[in-house]
Amino acid sequence: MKTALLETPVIVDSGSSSEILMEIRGLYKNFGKLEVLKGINLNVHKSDVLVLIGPSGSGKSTLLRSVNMLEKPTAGQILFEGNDLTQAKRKDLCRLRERMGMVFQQFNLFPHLKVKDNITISPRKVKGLSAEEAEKKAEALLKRVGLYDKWNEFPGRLSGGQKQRVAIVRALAMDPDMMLFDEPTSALDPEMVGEVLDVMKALAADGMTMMVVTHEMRFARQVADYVLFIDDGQIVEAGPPDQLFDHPQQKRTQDFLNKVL
Amino acid sequence: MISLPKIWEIFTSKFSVFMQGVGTTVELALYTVVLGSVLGLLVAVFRHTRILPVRWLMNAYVAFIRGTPLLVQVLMIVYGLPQLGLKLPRMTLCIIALVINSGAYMAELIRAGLQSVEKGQEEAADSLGMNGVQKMRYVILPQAIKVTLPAMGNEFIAIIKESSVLYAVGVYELTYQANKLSSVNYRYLETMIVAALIYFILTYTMTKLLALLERRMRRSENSVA
Repeated sequence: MKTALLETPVIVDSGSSSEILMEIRGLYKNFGKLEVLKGINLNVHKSDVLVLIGPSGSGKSTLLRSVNMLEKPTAGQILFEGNDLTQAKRKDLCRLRERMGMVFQQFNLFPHLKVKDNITISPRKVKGLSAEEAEKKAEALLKRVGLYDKWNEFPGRLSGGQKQRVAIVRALAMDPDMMLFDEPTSALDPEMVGEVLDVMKALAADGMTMMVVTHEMRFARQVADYVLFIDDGQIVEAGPPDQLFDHPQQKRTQDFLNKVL
Repeated sequence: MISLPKIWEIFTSKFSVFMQGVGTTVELALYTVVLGSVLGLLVAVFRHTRILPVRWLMNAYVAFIRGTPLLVQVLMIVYGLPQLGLKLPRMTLCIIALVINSGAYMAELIRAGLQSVEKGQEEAADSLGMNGVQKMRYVILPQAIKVTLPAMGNEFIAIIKESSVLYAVGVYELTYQANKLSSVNYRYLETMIVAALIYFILTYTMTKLLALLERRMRRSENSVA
């Protein structure tokens, strides 16, 4: 008679010495009968840059979207700065989301608001900053990404790369402890990918904690502290970029990398 | 036989009578479009609430109003409310009836506008820590209203025309005035042509004004997302 091995949960952890910002334990997500996430266990340390790669439909975006509860997990815990997001009340969830910036594939800028209002609306209305404070901050951030001349423009007049940079600034204006990037360059024309990745590199260099879902393998290699290969709703393999890209241990990782590299 | 000079004569000799009718019609339409929009907005927003009974009530209201004739609604309100002891001026009762009617249609228009706002907008607002009210107020509603505005303009035009049913309850709006004149001069066709032309001038002007407004709005923003 065969004995089934009890699966001991391996907690994926970059091994960084800085404090843990987020702990994800036993995270499951079903869409109807479809199991998209099948038991994710992950620690995120302060200043970690985690890059999530994997085939489409692997669950990497769902994982990222679960992290700030845009998707409600079916089971499991997400501890962020000591609070379990999955159990948080609506009001507390708003407070916690303030501390996590999110950047979307489709930018999702507010088309009816000028660039400056896109950036300042949440600091003013959610955090209660004065218009001056919020604008001062927005100005400094926009200058950093080289878009201060678009201050009074509507998003409709910006290129894709400019929109995404404004979207990053909008998230940063809330002073988040962590930034989530959901395929931030996938909707961009190739010549605009660089300008967005440069902003993200600078952020990483500043010590921002980041989780990035991307198909940009070069970016992953350059910027990631830790790369997570996700397939079929699980973290199949994780490691520092040179290890994961150059010496993948798992067959599935090898197959995937052979296809994309 | 129809006589063109007679049309002109009726219009000029009874100018003040017609104008009194126009004044009342425009007054009714203005009150209705403003208050109807507010009501429609509230109903549309409350149809999104998590409190189910409120949602059912709103849905029932919209379904009932859209499924029954305006004239019946007007008679119910204008004669029915006083019967319940609510003694209000006739004009106020008429406005209430029109607002209740128009609010249901406005709610439908605004709902379509709300649905047209992309899901990503809501997610972006969520990710920035906005609560439900902030999300609605600063992100969803402004975009929905912008989409809805042209349709609301059409609703205004519809109200101008539909307010003519109020002649049945003796409010001195345009149709009532014209009808009253005809019953004295026996020139139904000519008198009603005058009334029709006045209605047409009102609605046609509104159509042109709205088109202008729409073009202006589009220019201020340029394309989407």
